[in-house]
Amino acid sequence: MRSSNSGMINMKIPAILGAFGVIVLMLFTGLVHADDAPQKAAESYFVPFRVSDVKHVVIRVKVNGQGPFNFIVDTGAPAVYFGSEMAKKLGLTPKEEGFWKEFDNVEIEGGLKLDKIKVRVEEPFQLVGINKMNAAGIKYHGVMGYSALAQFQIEYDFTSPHLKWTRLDWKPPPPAAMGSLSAGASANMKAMIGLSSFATALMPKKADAVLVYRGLIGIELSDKDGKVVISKVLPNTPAALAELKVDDVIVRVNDKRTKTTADLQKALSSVGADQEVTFDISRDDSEKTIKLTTGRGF
Amino acid sequence: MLTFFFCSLLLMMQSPADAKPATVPFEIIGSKHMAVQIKINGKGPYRVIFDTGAPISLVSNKVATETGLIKKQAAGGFMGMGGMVKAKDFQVGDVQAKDIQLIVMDHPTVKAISEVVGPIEGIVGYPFFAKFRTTVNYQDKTLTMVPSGFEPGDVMASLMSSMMSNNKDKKVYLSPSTLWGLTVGKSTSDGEAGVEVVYLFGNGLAEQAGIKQGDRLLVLDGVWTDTLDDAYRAASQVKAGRTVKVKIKRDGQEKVIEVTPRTGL
Repeated sequence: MRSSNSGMINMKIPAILGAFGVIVLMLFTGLVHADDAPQKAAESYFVPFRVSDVKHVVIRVKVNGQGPFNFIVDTGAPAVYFGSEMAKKLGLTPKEEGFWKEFDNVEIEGGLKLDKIKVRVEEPFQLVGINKMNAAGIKYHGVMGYSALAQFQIEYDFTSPHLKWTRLDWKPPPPAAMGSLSAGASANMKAMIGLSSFATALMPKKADAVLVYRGLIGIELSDKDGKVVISKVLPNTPAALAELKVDDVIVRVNDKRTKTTADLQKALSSVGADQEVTFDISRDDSEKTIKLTTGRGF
Repeated sequence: MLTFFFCSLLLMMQSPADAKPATVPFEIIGSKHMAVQIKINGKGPYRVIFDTGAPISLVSNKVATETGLIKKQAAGGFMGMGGMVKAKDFQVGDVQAKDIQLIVMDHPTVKAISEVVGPIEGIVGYPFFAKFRTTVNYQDKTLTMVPSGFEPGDVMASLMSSMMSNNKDKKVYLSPSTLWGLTVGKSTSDGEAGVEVVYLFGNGLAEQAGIKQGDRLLVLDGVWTDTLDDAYRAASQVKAGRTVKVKIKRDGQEKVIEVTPRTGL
């Protein structure tokens, strides 16, 4: 059992190599880059990103106000690819062989706009298997490759929730067709597609993780001399209704000792709305236990 | 000199805050991939592709054999796949890292590119570059790398468990650590951008900032808030004391408001 599983995984490794293989698409088609994009002075944008379950850097994109769509940031792809599902949402009819189309209204989350970007409307096949299994935990809609990425200096920092994109004052040379390369590579690639969709067929589709929103209590907090002190109670919140008060010291929550606001946040981080929470507080030198039911909001 | 260099690298690894960035030149090859020079266990240099879209790194059987990662090229197997190895000493330009996971594999695309642009011996991906704050500049053709303190961990294991797991009963908690004093909502038939502010708790951050009931919350700290998931995700990434911008829409007019959230829940 074990060995057959790892066999499947091995076959899948090519599929999870990201959109690297997208290069093959370039073997068939030359890319003409938008050459009249206006040059702008250096501006920086903080682009929110996530790392998917299969370790792709994922950003979000809106096109003509539609979306958001999830894109892999991939220096291994020569162009920008819009997959079939998003193409349909944009009112396009995807063709199996793909086609080029210029878009004028491509927004990247974080406030950045790509002007007149030539896009390959085609399903990058690597995305098909991953999406089918829901392996990434996020549905992929497209790939952001060289022709867009090279216009920017991009800082990747996995300790931060943002990528920093700064517009460069240059026009990246467009990728050229690679002619003679196509035959051999495409045969290999076809073999890979066959194998990965076979492996995919055997894999169970992963369910979407359930998102839980932390419940609302209604207090602002501060750290004072190793104690967690309530600095504000908002009216009509569970805290106000249960009569938690400003200057109360939260000693324990749900029987967990809380010495810092971080302790308290951690203890309640997995408590959703409509859940009962017990606070042990110290007020005017006496201890008191207060129970409340969390609300909705943040 | 070498010892000095090595020591300073060790220091870099240990104290990301004081680490000095190192610059690695790259080449843009005909396929528009970024190519860098690597050394493994002091041997090389070898030219490989630097790929932000690659969840794993890989090297050819040739390099794996020459650098002592494997004893002998694996016979047959799928695309010459020789399995997973760990490079004790892995260097991209002057940037060094220890115990980097690699797959030994003659990738057909890498091979195909090699036939056109000359030898390419593998791909460097996430397990290496995620350790660094990495800045890519195509105009200068430089990578600037400084250890960020981020540890990608055993990427292969987590890829496999992610692919094998069915996510059953997996829960992800979105837990803002600041108190805004609002409730947001969105009905299933609502296809407009943003979420609606359905309730404001008096005297909270949102009310003090001038947000009103019925406003559309469009963007929170640069994140599009078109669903409740997105709104909570955005809020949960805001740290107390940092001023962030919020974009709202009221009576058809968009407005950007700055707020400085405070710790709460």
